[in-house]
Amino acid sequence: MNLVLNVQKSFPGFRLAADVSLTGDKIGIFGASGSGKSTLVSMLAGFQKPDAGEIILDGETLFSGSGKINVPPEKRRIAMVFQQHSLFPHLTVRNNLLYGYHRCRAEYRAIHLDMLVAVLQLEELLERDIRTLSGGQQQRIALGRAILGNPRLLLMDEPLSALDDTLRFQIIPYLKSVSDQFGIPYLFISHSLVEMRLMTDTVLAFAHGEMVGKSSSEQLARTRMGESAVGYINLLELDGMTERNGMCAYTWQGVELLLSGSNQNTVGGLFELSSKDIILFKRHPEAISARNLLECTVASLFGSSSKIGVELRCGTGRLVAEIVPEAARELGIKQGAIVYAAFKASAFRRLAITAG
Amino acid sequence: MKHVIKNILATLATLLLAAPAVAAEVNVAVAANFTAPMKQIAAAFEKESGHKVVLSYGASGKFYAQIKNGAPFQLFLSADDEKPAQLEKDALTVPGSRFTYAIGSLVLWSAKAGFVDPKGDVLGKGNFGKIALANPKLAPYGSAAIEVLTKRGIVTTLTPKMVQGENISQTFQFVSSGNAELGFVALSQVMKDGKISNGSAWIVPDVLHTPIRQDAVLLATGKDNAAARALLTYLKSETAKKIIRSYGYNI
Amino acid sequence: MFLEQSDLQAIWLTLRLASMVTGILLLLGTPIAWWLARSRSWFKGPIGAVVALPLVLPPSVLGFYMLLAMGPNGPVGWLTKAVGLGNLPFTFWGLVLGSVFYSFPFMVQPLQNAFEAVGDRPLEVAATLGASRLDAFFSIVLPLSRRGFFTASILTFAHTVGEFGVVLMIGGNIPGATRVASVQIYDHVEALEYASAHRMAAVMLVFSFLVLLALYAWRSDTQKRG
Repeated sequence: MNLVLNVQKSFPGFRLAADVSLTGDKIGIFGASGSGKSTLVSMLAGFQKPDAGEIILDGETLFSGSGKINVPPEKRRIAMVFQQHSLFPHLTVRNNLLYGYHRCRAEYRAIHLDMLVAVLQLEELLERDIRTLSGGQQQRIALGRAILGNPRLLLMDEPLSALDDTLRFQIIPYLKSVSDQFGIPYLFISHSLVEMRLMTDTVLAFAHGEMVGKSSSEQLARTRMGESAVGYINLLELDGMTERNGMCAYTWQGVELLLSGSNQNTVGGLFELSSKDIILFKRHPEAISARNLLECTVASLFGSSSKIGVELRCGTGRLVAEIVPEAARELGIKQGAIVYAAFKASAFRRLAITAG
Repeated sequence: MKHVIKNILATLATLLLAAPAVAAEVNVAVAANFTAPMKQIAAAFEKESGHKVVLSYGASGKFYAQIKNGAPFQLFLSADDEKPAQLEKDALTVPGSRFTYAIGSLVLWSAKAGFVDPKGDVLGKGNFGKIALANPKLAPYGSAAIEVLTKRGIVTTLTPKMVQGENISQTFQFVSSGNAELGFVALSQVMKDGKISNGSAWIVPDVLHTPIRQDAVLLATGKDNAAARALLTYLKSETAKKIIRSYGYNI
Repeated sequence: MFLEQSDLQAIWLTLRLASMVTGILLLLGTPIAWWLARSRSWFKGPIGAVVALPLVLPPSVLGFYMLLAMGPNGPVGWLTKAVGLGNLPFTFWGLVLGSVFYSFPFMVQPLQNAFEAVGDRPLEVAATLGASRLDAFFSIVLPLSRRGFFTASILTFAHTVGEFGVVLMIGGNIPGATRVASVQIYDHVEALEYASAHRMAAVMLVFSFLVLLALYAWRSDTQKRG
C-alpha cells in the first residue's frame, strides 16, 4: 500500500497537520489521546473533511483541497474497526459479517465468508444475538465484517483499548492473521507501545496535532523508554515448557529461562519482561537468588542522559535492560562488552496464551 | 365545592351587609353573541347603580352544563330560550324571573359586495360553493335559517353546500374569511352603528321564522343578590333596550 | 344499537382521518426529523421551533389562522386553487392538511429523539462498509429507531383522534366529511344530549386507553428484550 497523507485541519484550540508518504502494509499511528490521531483517521475514512491538502491511496486521490475532490466514505473502500460498540444490534452475527460483503461490488469480492469464519473462529457465533457476545467476540466479528468487503485499507482505531489485557493479546494474532492471509494492509491506531510493536512495522508518532516522528515500532519503543513508567517492555514468545523444581523452564532463542509456577498450565505464550527488572553484573556472580542469569553481549546503547537502555544479545535473542548513567560507568559498559543479566522467575507477566 | 362555599360566603356577606345602598357584585354568564352590547350595558349599569358586574362570555350550552354543576353565576343571558327554560325545570332559577331580553334578527350575508340581493333570491340561483349556517341542533340562528330555507323549498338542494358553525360566531368567521361565499348570521354581527358596514345582505323578515328569542334568567344563587336583581331590572329599561337595538336586535 | 348511525359515521371518519394523517406525517416527518437530528446548520433552531409551534398555540387560534390561510383569500387557498384543488376548508382533505400541521410535533419530536439516540457511529460503520446514506438509513437507522417510529405513530394517531379546536374551525361539521368524533361529542353536549355524549365519550375513552395500553405493553416488552 502506498498512502500520501497531506492534510491540515483546524478546530477552535486545536490544529492538526500531517504531511507524509507511507509505504507498507502494517503501519501504526501512535499518540496519546488528544494528539490528533483520531481526527486523522476520521479524515482518512472520509467522515471529516480536511481544510486543505490531499489524500492519495494507491494512486487514487480520495481528497484534494485544490482539486475539489472528496470521495465519500462509502466509495473509498477503506474499512474500519472501531474501538467498541460498532456491531449492528438488530442483525445477527452472520448478517453483521455480510453487511459489507453485500455492498461490495462483485468484482472486488475475494474473501469468502466460510474462510473468514474459519480464520477468526466464529463458527459457534454465527447465529447469536449481538447483545449476548463478549467484547472480544464483538471485536473479532467487527474485524471480520470489515475484511469481508475486501477493502484496500483497513483502519483500526484503538480496536483493543476497550478490552482487558487477556482479551487484548488474544485478539492481536487474529488482527495480524487477517491481514497476512487476505493481503489487506492496515493502519493501526493506538496509544500502546506494546500493541504497536506487536502489530506494526512503521509507526508515525503524533503529539499535539503534529507528526513528531516516523520510525520502526521497535525504534519508537526505545525512544519512549525513558518516558514510560514501566520502561521498555521486552516481549518474549515462549513455548516448549518443561517443569523443573516447581518452575517452568522454557528454551528461548537458545537460552533457558525459568518462570515461576503460575504459568504451569500453559504450553506457552507471549510474556513481557520490563527493562527495569533486569540487573546487570560485570562478572559472573557467585550465588544469586534470581533464577535467571544469562551471559550476554552488549549489542548497543541508547537513551538519554538520565536513563540508558542497554540492548543485550543473549543467545540469538535480544533483551533491553535499563540502567542509570552512574551504573553504566561503574560497569564500564560499552558495545561488545560481556555482561551478566539477572532477573527473577517471577518478573515475567503473561500477556497471552498460545493456543496449543 | 369551592364554588358552593364561595357562593354561601358571598350570600352571607350580602345578607349581613344588606343595605340597598351598599354596592354588590354580580357574576353574569353571557351568550357569546351578546358580548358587545352587554359590555356597554354593564358599563352604563355600573355607573348608574354603583354595583359591580363581572361578565363571562361563552357558548350557552356550556354555561348550562356549568350552572348545573354549581358554577358561580347569578345571572344567565342565554342565546336561546330553551336553556333558561330547562334550568327553570331543573329548579335552578328564581321562579318568574325568566324574560326575553333580545330577539335576534337573521341575515343572509356575504363578505362580497353585491353578492346577496336585498330579497335573498341568490339562494335560489345557487351560484355559490358553500353556504354557512349555525348548527341548527345547537343554535337558534341555525334552526331559523333552516326554517327559511324550508319555506323556500330549497333545503334539500342546498344541503350538500351547507357548512355548519358550532355557533353563530364561528359561522360568521366562515363567511367573513370568504371560505363560504354567504351564510346566515346574526344581524348583530354585521351591523355597526345601525347599518350594515360591509359586504352584501338580505335581512330576513321576522315572519319567515320562529322568533330567535334570547332569554335571561335569575339563577337560584342570585336570589338574594341585590346587584343581580338590579341588573335584571336594568335590562328591561329603555336605556338598555336602546343599546340592544343599536346592535341589530329587536326588543 | 349502542351508538347512533351518525356517531358510527363520525368514529369511522375519525379513524380514517387519523390513519391518513399518521401516514402522511410518517412520510413527511421522517426526513424533517432526520434533518433536525443530523444537521449542524444554524437554522436548525428556527425550524425546530416552527415544528414545535402547534404545541404552544391554542388549537382554536391555530384553527382560525388555518381558516384564513386556506380560505380563498389566504396564501394556501391561492395555491390550492391555482393547482386546481379548490378551497380546502370544509373538506376532508382540508382537515387532513390542518391535522398534519397540528400533529407535526407529535411525529417529528419522538422521531428526532430516536434518530439522535442512534448516533453517528452506526452510520460511520455503515459508510465504511460501502453503504450510501440512503442505504444506511433504511438498513440501519430505520430498524434501530423502530420504537421511535412506533411511539411517534401512536402519538400522532391518538392526537389526531382527540383533536378538536382545529377541526371545529376548519371543518364546518359536515357529516361524513368533517364531522369527527370529538365534534360529534361536543354537539351532543351542546344539544344537551348528555346520554349520547356519555356513550360516545366512553367509546373514545376505551379506544384511547386500549391504544395506549398496547403502546406501553409493547414498549416494556422491547425494553426487556433490548
